[in-house]
Amino acid sequence: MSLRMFGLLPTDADLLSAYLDNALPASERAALERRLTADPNLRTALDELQRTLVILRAAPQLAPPRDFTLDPARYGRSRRASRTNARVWLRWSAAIAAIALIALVGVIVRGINNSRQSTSSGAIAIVPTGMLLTSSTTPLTISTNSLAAKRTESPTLPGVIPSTVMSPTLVQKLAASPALPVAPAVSTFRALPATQNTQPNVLQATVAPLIDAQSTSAQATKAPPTQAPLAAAAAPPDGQSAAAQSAGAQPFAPATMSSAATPPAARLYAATLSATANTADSANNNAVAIDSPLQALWSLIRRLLNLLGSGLPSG
Amino acid sequence: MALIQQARQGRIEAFNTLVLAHQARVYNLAYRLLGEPDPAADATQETFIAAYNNLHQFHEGSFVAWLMRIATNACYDELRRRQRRPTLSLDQPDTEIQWISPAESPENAAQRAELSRAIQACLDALPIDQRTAAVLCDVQGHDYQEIATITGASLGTVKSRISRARERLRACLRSAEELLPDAYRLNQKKP
Repeated sequence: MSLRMFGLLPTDADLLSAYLDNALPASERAALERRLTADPNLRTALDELQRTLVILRAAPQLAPPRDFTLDPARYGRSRRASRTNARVWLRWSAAIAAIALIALVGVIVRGINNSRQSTSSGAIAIVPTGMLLTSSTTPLTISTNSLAAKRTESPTLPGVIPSTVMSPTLVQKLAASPALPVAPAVSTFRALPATQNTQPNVLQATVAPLIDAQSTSAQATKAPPTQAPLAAAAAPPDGQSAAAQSAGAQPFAPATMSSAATPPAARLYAATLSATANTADSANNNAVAIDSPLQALWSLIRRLLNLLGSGLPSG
Repeated sequence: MALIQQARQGRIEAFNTLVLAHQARVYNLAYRLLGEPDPAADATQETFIAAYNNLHQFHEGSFVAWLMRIATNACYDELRRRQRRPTLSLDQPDTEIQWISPAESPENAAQRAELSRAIQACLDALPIDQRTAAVLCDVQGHDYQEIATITGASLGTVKSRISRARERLRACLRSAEELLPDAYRLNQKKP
């Protein structure tokens, strides 16, 4: 039997429900009590609703089928503490890893930027820090721009040997030659901006074409020592042996040696790359030969790995 | 409150004291909302695990109301799972229902079981929001404000849900009064 059968409105159900819960304001409560006195249907509805509540409140209470206590071994303080410690370690590890990653990216970007600056300036300067080229500490500078200009102006400069293309064999031959004192082996190089190549007395080693060892050696032996002593030698892979061979070399004056043949531009670049490879072989000597951003990046990674002791194979 | 503070500091023994004090209330709420003993037990266990893991979020107010809110949500989750994956009855008997107070006689035990089944059948026919309001108010005895806190509904909504639930329950129990013990039949005078 619904409220409609009692002739009541749905709002009356709300009033009766709130009345039974003693949740009506005093005025509404008084008005409802007056209606209850006058309306038997409303009073019957109230009685049934009240009995319904009696039934619901008499609903039997079930006993829990078991205890729901938590296992101390699983939820106890030690486990909570260990979980907290694990979270702390995780956070610290993540923070350290993030910092290391940022630092690595920064180093790489800086290396790329440096290489771009070097390449954009059109010159590569290699300064042997472990040797004395001349009586002064003038750096040995290889300037591709100036090389090109020099190549056109004086295509053949007797006595000039492209230091960057000399193979270890060639260096050893030159060192063994009494007429050609060889500079001490270069142990380390550092890159310099090309703008430092402003001194007129800077010894500029013209990058000549890839010449074979025999022809270079022949020209070197033909060159008078007084006119063209070997000014610079590229770092051989085994710099120590070259240094030992050149230990007895006499002091020399700045001069140039060059191949008689004029190299094409492609071979010029290949010669530079060859020199870079030779220099990169002596990575343990911190040799840096920046010729392209990729090489700079590779050199940087190798240096980092060397620092970490990874033992990356050279080449 | 001291037990809550100790439990918040990681003392599982203190929390288990709270569990023992409130597990019957939580289990009965879960049973009345879910209608079956085993899912009610699962929801009860989930409730206490969630309460322990989130104890730092309880700051003030009624701990019981906070616990009931977690239990209600656990039951809603179970009901949603049922809607997504309806399960067929495998005729496996549920855990046998035990009552908190032992019956004085087998006849009383039978009457109590009949009353419980009749109430549960009428509760199961209600929409879940009205069922929750009716159970919290008329079975467990919470007031309107506590129910509003537990369910997250406004006070007016709570009143309305309770009123509609009662009207439906009244009609349901009247239609099934032959299942009720004589003392609880609606067409009789007040017991």
